[in-house]
Amino acid sequence: MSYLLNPQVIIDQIINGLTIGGIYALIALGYTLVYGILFMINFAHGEIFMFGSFGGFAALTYFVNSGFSDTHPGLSIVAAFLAAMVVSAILGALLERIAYRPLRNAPRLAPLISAIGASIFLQNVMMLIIKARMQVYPDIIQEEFLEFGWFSISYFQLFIISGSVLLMVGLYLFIQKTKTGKAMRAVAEDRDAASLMGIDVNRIILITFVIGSALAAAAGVMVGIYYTQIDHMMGFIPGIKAFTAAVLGGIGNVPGAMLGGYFLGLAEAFGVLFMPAEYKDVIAFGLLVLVLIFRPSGILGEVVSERA
Amino acid sequence: MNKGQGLLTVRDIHIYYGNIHAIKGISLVVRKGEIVTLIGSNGAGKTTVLNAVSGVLKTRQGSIDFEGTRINRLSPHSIVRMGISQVPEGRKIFSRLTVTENLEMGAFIRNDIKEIVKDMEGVFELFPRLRERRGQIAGTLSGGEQQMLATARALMARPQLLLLDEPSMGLAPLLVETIFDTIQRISEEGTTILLVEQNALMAFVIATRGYVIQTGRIALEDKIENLSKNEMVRDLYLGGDLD
Amino acid sequence: MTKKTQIIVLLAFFCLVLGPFSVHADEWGTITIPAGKPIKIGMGTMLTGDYASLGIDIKHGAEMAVLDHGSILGHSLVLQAEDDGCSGPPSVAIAEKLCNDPSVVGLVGYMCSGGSKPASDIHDKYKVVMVSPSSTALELTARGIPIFFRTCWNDRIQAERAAAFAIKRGWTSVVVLHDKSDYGQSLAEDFGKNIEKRGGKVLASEGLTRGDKDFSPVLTKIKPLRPKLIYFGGMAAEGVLVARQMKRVGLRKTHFMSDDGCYTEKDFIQAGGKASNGCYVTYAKEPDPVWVKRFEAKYGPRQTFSPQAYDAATILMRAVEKAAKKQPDGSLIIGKKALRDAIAATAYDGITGRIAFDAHGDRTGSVVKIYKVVDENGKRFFKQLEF
Repeated sequence: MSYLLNPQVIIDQIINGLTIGGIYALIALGYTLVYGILFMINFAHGEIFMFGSFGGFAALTYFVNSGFSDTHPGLSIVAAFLAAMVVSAILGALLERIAYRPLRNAPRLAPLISAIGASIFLQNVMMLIIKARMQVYPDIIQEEFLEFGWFSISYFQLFIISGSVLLMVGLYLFIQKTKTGKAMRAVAEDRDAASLMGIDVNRIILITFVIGSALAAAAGVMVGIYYTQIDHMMGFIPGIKAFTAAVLGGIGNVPGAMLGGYFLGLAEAFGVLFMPAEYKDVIAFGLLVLVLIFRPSGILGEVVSERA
Repeated sequence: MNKGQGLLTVRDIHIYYGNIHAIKGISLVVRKGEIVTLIGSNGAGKTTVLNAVSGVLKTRQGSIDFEGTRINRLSPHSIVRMGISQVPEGRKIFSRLTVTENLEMGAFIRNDIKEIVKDMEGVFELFPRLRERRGQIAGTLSGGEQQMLATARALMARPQLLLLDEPSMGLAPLLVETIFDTIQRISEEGTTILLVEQNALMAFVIATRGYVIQTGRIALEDKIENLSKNEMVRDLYLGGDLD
Repeated sequence: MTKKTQIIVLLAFFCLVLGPFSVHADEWGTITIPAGKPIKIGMGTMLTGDYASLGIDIKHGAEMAVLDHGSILGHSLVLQAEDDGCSGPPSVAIAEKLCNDPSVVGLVGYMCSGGSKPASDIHDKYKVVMVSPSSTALELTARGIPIFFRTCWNDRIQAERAAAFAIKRGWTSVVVLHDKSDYGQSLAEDFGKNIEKRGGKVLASEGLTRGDKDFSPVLTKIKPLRPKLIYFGGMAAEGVLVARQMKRVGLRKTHFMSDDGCYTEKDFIQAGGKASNGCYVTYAKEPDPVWVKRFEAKYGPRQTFSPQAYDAATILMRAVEKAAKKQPDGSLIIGKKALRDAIAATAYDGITGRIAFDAHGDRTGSVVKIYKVVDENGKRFFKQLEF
């Protein structure tokens, strides 16, 4: 189509796709990290993302009311990210401790049902807190644009794209280089063997939940700043899309979740060029169905086989 | 008997898998510096005993003491910290981690980085093949190399007691000999060893004492020279291997 | 004669003979409010969810009217507000519930056209009147439903005025977006038709999903068309994101225009921040400033339809007053048809102007004004334009 001959459209859609893709990827990592270790889908992960967004919202609102954000806008944003990550990390840890750990050796359906229950519970808790009304992120920093002649990029987009990449590189280094990260990989591969190394498996699982939740919280604050509107149902669709991204990349595979997130973001941005915008969600879920049918192990997922 | 208290003392333990009474009151002692072997046929309960010592399985009755401390209520990771490492059956190396990372996991409980590096040099000396393959993903190693890695990994914890579960399984005869030579060297360097083996012939070459386990009970216990003279042991566990 | 026809004839005879003797005849039946019991005014509006600030504003408007009115013939008044979710299924459920409540005389609502449309069928079945302060879709008054009235305008007028304004400004190439709702889609499509009727051109038309937050891909798709105007039919939650993201994808010379759904201080101007500057919306002429002052002192800044809700409730209560017959035992009997006719005959100066209804239930002579978001003296607000 003529759109693909227009470099301006292509560059703009790449920027759009990378922005939302980075957000999907950050959330997808939480699904994949937990699945990698426990072989369960934490369906309450979208709500952890939502709580993170509200954690950041509460912090920013506080800074606006106290006037702190007028003098230190940058610091306020950083503090809001930290607050959000702490809120979500605590929530993720509680969720693991209360909803999943008691069911660790139960049939696989049990933790799944527990997760769905936790998800509905958390939605309702937030609904009571905000009285089911949409909240609007305070405008602390005005959105400006970097102009490059025939295309431009917003500072917000630049911030989200680079911020998500930074967090993902950080996570990758953590998993590859630190002792705890290596232990996470060891536990993911063989829980019993890991415990024979003196690794406290429960502690590693808890850390995994904490890390995944903190990443989702960062995505939550980014969504708040970028789209401004947040509510108690905001975790649902991004949660399912991020899950799709994780499956696309190969669930349980960390680079796969990152790749899947960007792939999905770009697919949505470019898909809109070829079909009416109202079918945007169809792209994500259509991809999910196709991957599940033709390559259930995902793009980077290895074909499941017994260890040699 | 002799030399008083053992390093590891197992007293009358009972273990169940669901309703199946797998271990029906086993007692055994491993003293400092010994190589003790536990032989028996498939399904007799050898691995079950090792897993009980490691804390992976819970005992329903009886006690396990290590250096005078009761350990059969502790979690596996705390037992490792007390100085017991296991080389599990089937190796169970981390196949997606590199050889070096596997060894680092073996040293997980330790924080003395300089000493860890030194110990890694030590195990590379013990298993030169591993040094060549240090950067390689462990899943790509051959079966014998994986067994070396599993043993080396357990040594990285600097255990006082090393539990070895079927180190010869699935290996070519030449490799089996190398592995057993190394076990002997490890023992000579001061590590106490409890060895579970189906290949009793090999085990008897290096062990000082042995227990014969049959359907969840100890059938015989003696010094190796006496065991190898025993009619029943010869028939059941050594006979087939003489071909 | 068969037995069946005999019974029918007999029944017909009784009806003919005894009918005129029934004391409170009303062809649609009657509502009886027992002595000492309150009269309930029903209400359907969004109380939770993305457009709740709009819905709560409507509730406040009606609540204030009820408090101002006090009582009717010695009966106290109660406003029973239910959450209609701005959509069909909950609105229908509320209709079934309230139409079967013997002390409900009528209803103010529903908030959204998508709710009013299916609910009005239920109201028609039970002949319980409804006066919507905010459902503007064309078809609502085109379906021959006698119990439906509204104090807002018909979108036909809104689309016409908006298109006329756009053409006058020279915005002849437009892109039309809508939220796929009964309200947004019909309004946007009607706007498009009006633009073409006046010689303009609709370059593209796209539907968006309510609740979605990311419209940059579709706006990027629109960008190479270089429209002079993007018109959005829908609510503020999505509208403000379109306005914001237009700037983001570089549609900075393109104007943004929307409807009454975006005429809200909180969800459009506050939520949009700087990006809301220069956006156009359509809405009725400003309500009575004295009333606004009184309202804002009580409930804080008004949003959109509280004045229309105030008038809707007032009209309903005045009609009840006219149609109700006080009985010796202190109870009230209200004929349903009489109540409907009383509303149809309304001639009343409300806070939103003179109110009278045409044969379809639409307001006669309703006007729609064009507003622009301006930033003056450090305050951002909707400024009414001369047009």
